[in-house]
Amino acid sequence: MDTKLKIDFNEGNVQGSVARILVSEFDLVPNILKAQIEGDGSGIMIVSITAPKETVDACIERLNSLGFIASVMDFHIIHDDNRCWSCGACTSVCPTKTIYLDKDTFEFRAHPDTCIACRSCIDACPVKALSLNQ
Amino acid sequence: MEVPKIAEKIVPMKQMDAKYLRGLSITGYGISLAIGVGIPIPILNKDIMQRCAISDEEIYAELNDYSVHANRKALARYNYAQLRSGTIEYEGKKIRTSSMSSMEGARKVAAELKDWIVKGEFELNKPVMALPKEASLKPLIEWKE
Repeated sequence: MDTKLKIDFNEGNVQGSVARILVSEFDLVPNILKAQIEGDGSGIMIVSITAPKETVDACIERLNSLGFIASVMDFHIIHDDNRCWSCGACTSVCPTKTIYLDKDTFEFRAHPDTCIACRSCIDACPVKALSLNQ
Repeated sequence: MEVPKIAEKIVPMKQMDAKYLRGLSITGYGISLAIGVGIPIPILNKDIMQRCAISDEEIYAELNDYSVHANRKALARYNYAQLRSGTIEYEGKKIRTSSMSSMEGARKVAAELKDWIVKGEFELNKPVMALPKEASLKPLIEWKE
């Protein structure tokens, strides 16, 4: 089971390599799902790793000791059934194909495990039926 | 403008069911309106039956480049089965596809209309107005200095 880590960084540690720490110190294979740096040097990174809970906790402790703010990201798409009319506009913009329409009923479906919180679907939805719980 | 007045007479908008009349906000485009319309087609002969029974493979849509303003020509044609698969190919490049109308909604409208017809609540009346014989769209012509 993949764990998604949300890592906030700031001007002081923006040059630090989170991936290097996860690879060399914890022997993990990090998959960077999202990395965003703002103009002031702060930013957010979402990294996916496959590791037991103890290792995840150790990673968080180590990253936090370096000034990063790491936490397990337990987000998923929130889908408002009352607003959604299953038009499907969200399906083609989803980079991980998390969202799809049911083959038989053509109703909105999602498997939140693969969501990378890119927010593409939120912008694509014409009735604003989607949001993230982060 | 004459048409909206007549449309108002046919169906007062404020009495419509909000399920089938929805305001939309489309990012990068603006506001729009989604309307669910059910049109009963009387099957009077074999020919109408055949035309109504066509599959997704037999319904075609054009691929257009919307950055071309005037005299736009279709780049390619795809059938609905291809479009519904989620990906089409154009010049060797894969393009993700999705609809902007709801198949689930269309089926709801059809079921409700069928329900009215079965219960005998759907009545015919004389045409309120004829559809326009001549209509054209104004192209968005690029302004040049």
